[in-house]
Amino acid sequence: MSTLNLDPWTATLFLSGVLALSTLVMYLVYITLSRKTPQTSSEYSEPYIGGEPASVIKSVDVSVRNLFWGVVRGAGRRLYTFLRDQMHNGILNDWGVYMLSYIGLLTLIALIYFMR
Amino acid sequence: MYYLSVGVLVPSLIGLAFVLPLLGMIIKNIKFFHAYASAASLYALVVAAYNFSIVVKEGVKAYPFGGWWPPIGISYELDEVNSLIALLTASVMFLITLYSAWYIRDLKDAPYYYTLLLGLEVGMLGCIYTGDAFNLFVMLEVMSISAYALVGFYRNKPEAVEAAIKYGLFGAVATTLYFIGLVFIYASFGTLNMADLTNKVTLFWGYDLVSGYYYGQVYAATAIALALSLWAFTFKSAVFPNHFWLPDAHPEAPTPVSAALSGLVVNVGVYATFRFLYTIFNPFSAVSGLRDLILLVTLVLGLASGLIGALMMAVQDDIKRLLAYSTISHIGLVLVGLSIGSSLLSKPGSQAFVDGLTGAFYHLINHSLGKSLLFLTAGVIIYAAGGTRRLDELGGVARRNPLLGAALIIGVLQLLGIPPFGGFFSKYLLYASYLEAGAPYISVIINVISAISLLGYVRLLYAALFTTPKREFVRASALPTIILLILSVACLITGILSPIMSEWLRRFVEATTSRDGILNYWLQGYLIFWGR
Repeated sequence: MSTLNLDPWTATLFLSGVLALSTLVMYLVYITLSRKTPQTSSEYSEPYIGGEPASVIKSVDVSVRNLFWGVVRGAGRRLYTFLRDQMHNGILNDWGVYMLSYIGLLTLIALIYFMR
Repeated sequence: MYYLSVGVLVPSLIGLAFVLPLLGMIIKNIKFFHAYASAASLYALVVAAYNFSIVVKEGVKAYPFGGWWPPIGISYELDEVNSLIALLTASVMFLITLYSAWYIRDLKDAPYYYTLLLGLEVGMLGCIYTGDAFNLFVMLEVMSISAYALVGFYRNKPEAVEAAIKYGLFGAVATTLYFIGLVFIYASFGTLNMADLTNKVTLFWGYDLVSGYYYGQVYAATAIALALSLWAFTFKSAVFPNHFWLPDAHPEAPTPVSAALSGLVVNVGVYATFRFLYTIFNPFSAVSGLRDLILLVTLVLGLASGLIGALMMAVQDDIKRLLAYSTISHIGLVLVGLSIGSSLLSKPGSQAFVDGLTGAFYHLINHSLGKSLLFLTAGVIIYAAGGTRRLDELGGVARRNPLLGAALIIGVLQLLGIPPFGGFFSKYLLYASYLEAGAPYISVIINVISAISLLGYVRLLYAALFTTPKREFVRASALPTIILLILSVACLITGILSPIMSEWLRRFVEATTSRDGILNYWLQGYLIFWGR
């Protein structure tokens, strides 16, 4: 059995090509086999889930947006309080503190290097 | 023989820019100004491409202004790296200028807009082409003043004026600090010519034919000058903690300008840092110890920038502000690549050294293309959604226009680093270089930065693509769509041709940063005089 040795570049490009080709084939199969007209029945407009109509289930659904904010706020509340409210607050004086600290650090390194 | 094309581009382009307001007093047809600015930008692209081709064929080229011997007069000097960045700048600026013809189609102030836009291009090309540290200051000012005015272009919007004032205030401090750094350099070395400085700092001969001996305490002056210059360069490239101005300034500018600021202007700071730390104060110079320490600082700042930019992306409501934070994150990654040159991490010419720098420049190119594409796509999305920039109000606008949706997805994949787009390969090079350098924890942080940034990009895709359209949207004309298509193809090409591109960049990096390359940069700075 022969082994194919590829460098990371070629391997990535090769796999990407294979994935793109597979996706194209699956898409072509899908559009060939899919129904041209939608299937309908008398129960189509009244789906029941767990004994309840769809409207009831839908009313307790959590939107993707709310889910995102729930996770971000839950996991990173303290981090974002600092990053957004104390660091990126748009106040020039507060920016100046960080920026001047940086030039201070650079000057300190320069002086230490010079005096060593 | 010296090359006129190296010297002619910047002065002629600034001439073309300054003629515009005068023409605006005579000609009232706005279409003329669209055509004029596009032609001027095309001219810049053709000359930049020609200059790149001669550098690739024949090596470093220089041009002395006014025929003065370089240490006295101003000279422009092109090597492989800066000619490539200039070509990238001119190419993307040409597309941005074309896009502007659609974006400001009814704007009466078009002559002033184009004067500033061409001024911005002149400033960037001047910074990249120059072989003189003082001329770099002048060109930084040309670029910055154009940028301040463009950020505040919508002068009836209080947010735009506030952003321009904040940017201008700190920008003026940054260029002043760089100027003070130049005072230290000139007072001790007696020269501001980059080739001449390289000679003195590297060989420490202490003299040459024109600029004389050293004066004062050279080591102290160099240390302070480097500290001041680096602060200014990291301000221009918006690296933490000098990044605060960017999320205010970039979104308030007209969208094509946002694309230029985020995709190209930040590159100038990165390039200047490279020129200072890899050519003038190079690894073989007498101040290599200080350079090593400073590169460790830039490494920490680059990582912090990458993390903070990625984290802040996730909580933005404004599409342009989200992209602005993404710029901070990506420039941080580029700086991480540049920092590999510290001798504490790698030796000059080693695999890690070359891979890190190749990755940095590759990522710079990928980011420029991807970010310009995303900002220009955002411009069309905002237009189609009736002018809103809020993600919650975009309501799946890109679903109505498949090409717009495709451009958005390609831009995001490019910046996120998903194969087969170029962003993957440049991030891979950055990752691999730190593995080779024996610092795997930095490789892990690079991956973490990419993973965190996914949150922000997913929000963007979700808002523009995956929510259900609730109303009819305005359709944009063909011109912006064609430009988005060109940039999308460019993003794909940087990925598919990655084996060739990375090999080219590797060759450029080796030619520029090797001992011979640095010596050649210095020699060419002198030889232009003798070759006349």
